Amino acid sequence: MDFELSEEQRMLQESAQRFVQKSYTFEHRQNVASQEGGFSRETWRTFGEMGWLGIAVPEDMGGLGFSPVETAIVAEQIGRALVLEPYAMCGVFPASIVTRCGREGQREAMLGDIVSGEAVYAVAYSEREARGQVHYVTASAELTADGAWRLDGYKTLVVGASVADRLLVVARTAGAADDTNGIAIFLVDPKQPGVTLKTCVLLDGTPSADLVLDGVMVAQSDVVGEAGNAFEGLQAAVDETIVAICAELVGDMEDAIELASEYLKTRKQFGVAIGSFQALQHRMADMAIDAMQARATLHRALLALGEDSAKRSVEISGCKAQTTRSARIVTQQGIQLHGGYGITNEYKVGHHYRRHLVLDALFGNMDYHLNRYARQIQHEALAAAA
Amino acid sequence: MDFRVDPADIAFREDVRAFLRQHLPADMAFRGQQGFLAGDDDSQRWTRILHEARGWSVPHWPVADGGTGWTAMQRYIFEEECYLAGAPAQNQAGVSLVGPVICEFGNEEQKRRFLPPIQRGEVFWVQGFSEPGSGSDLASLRTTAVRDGDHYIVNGQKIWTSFGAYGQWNFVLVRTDSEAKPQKGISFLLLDMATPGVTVRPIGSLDGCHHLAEVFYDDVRVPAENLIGEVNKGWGYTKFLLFNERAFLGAEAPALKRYLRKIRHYATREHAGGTPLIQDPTFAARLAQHELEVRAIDMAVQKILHQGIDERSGGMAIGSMLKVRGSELHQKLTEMLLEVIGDYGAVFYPDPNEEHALRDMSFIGPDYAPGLAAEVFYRRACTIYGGTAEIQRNIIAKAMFDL
Repeated sequence: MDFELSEEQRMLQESAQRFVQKSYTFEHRQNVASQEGGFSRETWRTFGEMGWLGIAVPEDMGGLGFSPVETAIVAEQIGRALVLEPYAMCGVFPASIVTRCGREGQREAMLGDIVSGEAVYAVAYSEREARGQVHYVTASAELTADGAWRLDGYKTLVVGASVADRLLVVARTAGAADDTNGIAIFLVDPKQPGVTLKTCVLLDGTPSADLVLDGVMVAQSDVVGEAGNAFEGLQAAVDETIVAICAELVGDMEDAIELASEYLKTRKQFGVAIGSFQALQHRMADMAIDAMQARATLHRALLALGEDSAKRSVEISGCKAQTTRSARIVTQQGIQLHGGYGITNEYKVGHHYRRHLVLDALFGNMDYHLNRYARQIQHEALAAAA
Repeated sequence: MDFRVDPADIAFREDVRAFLRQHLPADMAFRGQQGFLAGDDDSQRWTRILHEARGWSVPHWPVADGGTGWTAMQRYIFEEECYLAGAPAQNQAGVSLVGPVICEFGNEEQKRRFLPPIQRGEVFWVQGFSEPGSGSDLASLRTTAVRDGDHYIVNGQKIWTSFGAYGQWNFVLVRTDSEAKPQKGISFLLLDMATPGVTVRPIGSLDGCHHLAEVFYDDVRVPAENLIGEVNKGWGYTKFLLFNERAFLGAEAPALKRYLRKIRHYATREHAGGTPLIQDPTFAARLAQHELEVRAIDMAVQKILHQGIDERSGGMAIGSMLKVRGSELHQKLTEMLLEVIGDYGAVFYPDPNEEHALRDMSFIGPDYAPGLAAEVFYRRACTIYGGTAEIQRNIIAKAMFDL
């Protein structure tokens, strides 16, 4: 094991730090939220220019050819600065799907768009009753007589959809609602007939939408990879994206702790800085411990990404449950330590709490992932006893 | 950054496992797997085996003094494998606390005299730090040592001395200057407990055991050559000792892993209404939560082992952070273990090292029941010993946030 950043990793971290400190101040963020609908194309292109949208994409497919470790380094800074543009959901996620599932030829064209930031891709993977189960898909794909696919159904929480140029839509070609076989991914133009986006903003100000598919026709050439066999690649992409989200949460926590620490030194009551009160010092200590555990858990998740598929996915579920739980404690207490200011819109600390609620909902919440991990424990314990 | 385990560490772990299979006596391992603390016999016998078989009894000491020269990671692997196999704890006060202090601050004569018997498991050491009036505020201690020719005369009382009744030698903090600031008038003395004037009184604790003791010193004559380092500099040596204790032993992560393993195992053998307990979803979710926390602690420990203690790993605060969260987990997991055995969780199983052991009671319940309750009670102390959880939080707030 090696916990030191390499020279390249340090440079990447410094450039990400510089970017968010200079160009993504909290004031800038609030302007993007209130005046640009939570998404700036210019910022997205900048991400592309800096290579952030293809960090783990192999070099021969147009990416930087690094690993999820480098993605996490950037995602942590995204979390600290509460960047609104959905880096994980419209950057890491579609890039990973196309890298893993795409056919030769198709892959290069789509990744070119994604990695450069020229086109924004949103992924319609979730449904109201899926609650984190990647294989729970009811939206249907039917092969028509002329060889095209017809999509019908309803997808939820399509982060970035309202600003996207392309949608990657997960639908079922065969099987029951929770079969792992029969899942396919389709490339859809949001402006094409039959597509309706019911737009919204999420709790943290990120643009999103529900997607209604009503007889949307997709050519065979726009099936990403092989129809019916997308599950494994999709699950791997979900796992990779969850790890980026865990890194964002670590950034959220660290920033919330820094903000609280500064506040405790400047805020005075009873004639002294409130940081001199032991009750508050101990709360800060507890927050620091949770942040330490979250970072260690992120390291575990990065290690797990290299393991074989069955083990990998459950390990990463455990990591998401643990990281989100710590983020909840830390961001809640970040508000509490700021007193009334903590609940105001103009103070940054409360926005970390809002963000963690969104990240908790993505790909299934704490309970879902904890239970998934618990079932694995049951399975392993019974197998060992047999 | 690369989180894959080094092949050399995997090979080392295999070597340790093979050694344990060959050399750890089965009777000792059986007792070690129970929750009772090891008696002095097992502790010293195990130290002798480690020393004679491989020279592994004091791995963390400097090589010149008998250490193995292992990396921090190797030491951790060794400790973990010993623990998981049920090896008894060594005499920690000797091997881990006073031993390193003598290596670092002792003179050549003291090293020659005191280190080999510790390494060979021949002398059992106990600690003399806390006093009835000096717990968290250790520097306020009042046991005195007054110079009289080539001796110090020690008077006073120590308390919470672990394994006090087994103690052959005692390292004590004594006040040698009552005028100076509290920290500047403390000295570090090595004291033979067979010296006239030393009285040990065991303290009964919640686990039904008498491992703890009070030690009274009544005009005890200690040769001046048993002073470590310089007079009135004892506080510095103490900080060195406490830092070692917190940084490397604080979380006791191997013990946490052993609890998890036991819970998993027993919960498949215990049934609730005909179904293995492990299948209860509430139980499994609670176990999952604890397991995730333990794995995070374990990864954080690995990071320290690779990076060392410095600014990047949280500086002085990291040992305290691991101690606080680790201690909480020790308490939660031992309680969960007791819950696992259901009705037998209410039964008192006496420590086999105690005189009243079993008397005329019959043995009932599963063979893994004895010791589980003792461990629950023992672990109540882990948010108290080595600096209370509250003192640790003070340290964290100061070191990390300058509060």
